[in-house]
Amino acid sequence: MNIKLLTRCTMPIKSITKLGYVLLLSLIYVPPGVTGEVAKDSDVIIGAGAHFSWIIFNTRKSELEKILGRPLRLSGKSSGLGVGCKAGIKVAKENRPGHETFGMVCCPLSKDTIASNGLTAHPLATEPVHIVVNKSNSVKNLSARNVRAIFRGEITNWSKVGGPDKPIVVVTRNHCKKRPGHWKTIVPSVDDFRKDRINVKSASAMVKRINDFTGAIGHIGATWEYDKNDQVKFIKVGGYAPMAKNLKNKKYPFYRQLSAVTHGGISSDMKKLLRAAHTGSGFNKLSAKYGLLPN
Amino acid sequence: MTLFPRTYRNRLLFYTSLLIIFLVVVLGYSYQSSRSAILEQANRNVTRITQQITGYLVEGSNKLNQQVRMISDNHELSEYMFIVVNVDTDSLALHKLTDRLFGWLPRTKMVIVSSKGDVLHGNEYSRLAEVLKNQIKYGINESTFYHSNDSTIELVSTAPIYYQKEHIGTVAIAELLDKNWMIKIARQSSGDLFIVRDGAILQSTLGEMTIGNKFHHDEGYLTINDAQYLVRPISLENTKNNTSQLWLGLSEKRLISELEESRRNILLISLFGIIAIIAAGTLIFRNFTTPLSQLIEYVDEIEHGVLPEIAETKAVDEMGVLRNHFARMVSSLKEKQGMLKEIHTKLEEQAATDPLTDLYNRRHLYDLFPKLLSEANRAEKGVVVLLCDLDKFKSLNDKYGHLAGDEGLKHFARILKICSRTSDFLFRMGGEEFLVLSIGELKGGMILAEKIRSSLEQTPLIYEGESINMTVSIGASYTNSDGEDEALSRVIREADTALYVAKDGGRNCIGLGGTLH
Repeated sequence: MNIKLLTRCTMPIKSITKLGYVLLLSLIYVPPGVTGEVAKDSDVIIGAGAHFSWIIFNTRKSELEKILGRPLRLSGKSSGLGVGCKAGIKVAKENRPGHETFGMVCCPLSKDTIASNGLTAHPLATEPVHIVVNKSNSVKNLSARNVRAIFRGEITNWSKVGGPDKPIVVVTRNHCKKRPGHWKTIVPSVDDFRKDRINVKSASAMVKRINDFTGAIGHIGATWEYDKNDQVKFIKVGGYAPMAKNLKNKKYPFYRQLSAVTHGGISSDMKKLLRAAHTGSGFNKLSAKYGLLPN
Repeated sequence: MTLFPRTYRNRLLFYTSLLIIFLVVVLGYSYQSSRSAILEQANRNVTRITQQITGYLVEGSNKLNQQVRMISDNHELSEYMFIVVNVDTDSLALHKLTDRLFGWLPRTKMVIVSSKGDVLHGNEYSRLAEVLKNQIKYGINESTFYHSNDSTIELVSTAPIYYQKEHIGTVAIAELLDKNWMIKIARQSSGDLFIVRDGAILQSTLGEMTIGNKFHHDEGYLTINDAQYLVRPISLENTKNNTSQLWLGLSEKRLISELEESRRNILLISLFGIIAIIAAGTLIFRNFTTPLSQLIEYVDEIEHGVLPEIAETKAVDEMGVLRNHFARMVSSLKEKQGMLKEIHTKLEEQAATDPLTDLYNRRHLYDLFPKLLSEANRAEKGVVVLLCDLDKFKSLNDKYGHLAGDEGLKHFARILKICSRTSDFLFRMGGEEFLVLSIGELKGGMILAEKIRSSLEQTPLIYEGESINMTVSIGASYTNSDGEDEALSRVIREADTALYVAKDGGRNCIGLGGTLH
């Protein structure tokens, strides 16, 4: 028999056999990369909560996933959509073996809250609280005293603080009333705020009011992401910009502590995640951008 | 005597005429009453459209109410208002907010007035703002009303605005019943709308030329620029500061046009109806009465003894089938009649003919002779009678038998036929006696007699191969007397006498009177 002819006849049979082996092996052996794409729920670490802490994780999501070797599922884009601090506590309490969760809160929880919920707080960073005004406002700097006087209603016209002759519209967001820090660094109690003010329920509503009222003044966390059309700017307080170094040396007076919270025992991966979230070069970049001071 | 038509044809004509009369009467009545019907319809229409427009307005008012409540219930708005009023800031933020929140509302006017009477929004709508201020002044915060504004009417709805349970102002929104609105409604209602104030037209869908005209209607009829309109007012409830009225008008020109169209339709319908009835009647005539009349004609002809030629038809309807059956029946009758005639002729012939010799018999002689004599007289001629008797015929019978005798009789009959003319009549009188009648003179008759006698003498009978000589004696007589009843008896008697003379004279000869020839 002609050998060439035999080869021609047998080659397809050999190829089919090889293909069969490959298919069989592919069913038995799944390469590591594939598991990442079709991850099981038990592999995912779930985090939810306040927008301002969410930014810390979400901005570095892919970097953190790489460090962990596990996927992250994060919720917290807007504090006005029911994913605020309360949601962070709720999600943290869902933590159990095979379903790892953590929460994100925008201010330190009270001891009672921590004790009654069995939570562990993991401070991430101190975030400056921006004092914001309408971009049309010529005022660029206010002393902390004046800021407080304005929010108390002691100063009601911008002309008193070197601005235009325009009534001041105070906009507040009295969130997390039972927790320390945040707006309480401006005035200690809700009752201390000016009475004829606008009190909003969300950070986005705060931005809208500042946009609408040219004489408005408000407060918002430094990590808030503005729309390009927003007519909002932050001002210096006592000549100090809301930056990490000014927080560190206590020159900038308005701030809050961003934290993660967990429930019960946490895995080594979770520990690794929480540590990585406020360390490393990735965090440094965030810190530079938003003025965050790592804890 | 009854007036009801007896024939189907007349009944059909009667019914068709009745139908046409009925149609003409009904349509005539419709034509006559169309004007009042159109006017009545127009009155109903104008009322209906008026109600319809009132319905639109109520619906619009309800929608406006809902919208104003939506505005007044908005927390952001009340908060902004509170700030604007209490902080004494400018109302730019309020404008921005209302644009953002309510800019999509299809309303042309929105006015917000604070409880102190300051206009916070909608400064450009000063009249409406004034109305709103007055309302607030009198403590009215929630209402829906119509408000006059230049050449338009506004439907306004107001609602109070509260902030932390404190009344801080009132909002009003208005829907303009302006020219565009009027045109839209006029298109939907097929009528025209007028805004009237102080007896003059402020705005109308009839065009600029009508604006400023007097609006004086006479019992619901208005004349503008020589055109008449059927008009009705449209109720505008809760009018405030509003001396303007809204009127609906239906053009008489349009009504007349509708009337003419209606009448044209009636005429067309009647024309088509009459044509249809006539066509139906004609078809019934053609398909029913015409074949029936033909059948009646045929029956009439048959009654008078004539069997007509009836062609069969291809029509398969009842009348066609009847005609074809009738045609076949008449055809069959004709055939039977022919057969009867033939039988009758045959019988007649048999009654007048001797069966052995095929010559006429004695009975026919009595029928024929008077006619023949009359004919001869008309030709101024007489009738010759030749009475022939075969000689010794008994001995022929005796010698050769009766069959030979019969053959002898037939032989002589053939000789008679050969010798005589076609105008002569030949008879067998009985036994071996024969008679010849010939119109003419006696001389001719004598020649014929001699011809017969000599022919028989010279022509023997051939019977069973044997030649049998036969002779005949002939007695001749002549008559030309017309009107004589006894002419035949007399002339036969004379011929018989002459025959005895010939027999006594030796046979095979001809006797005439008392002499032999």
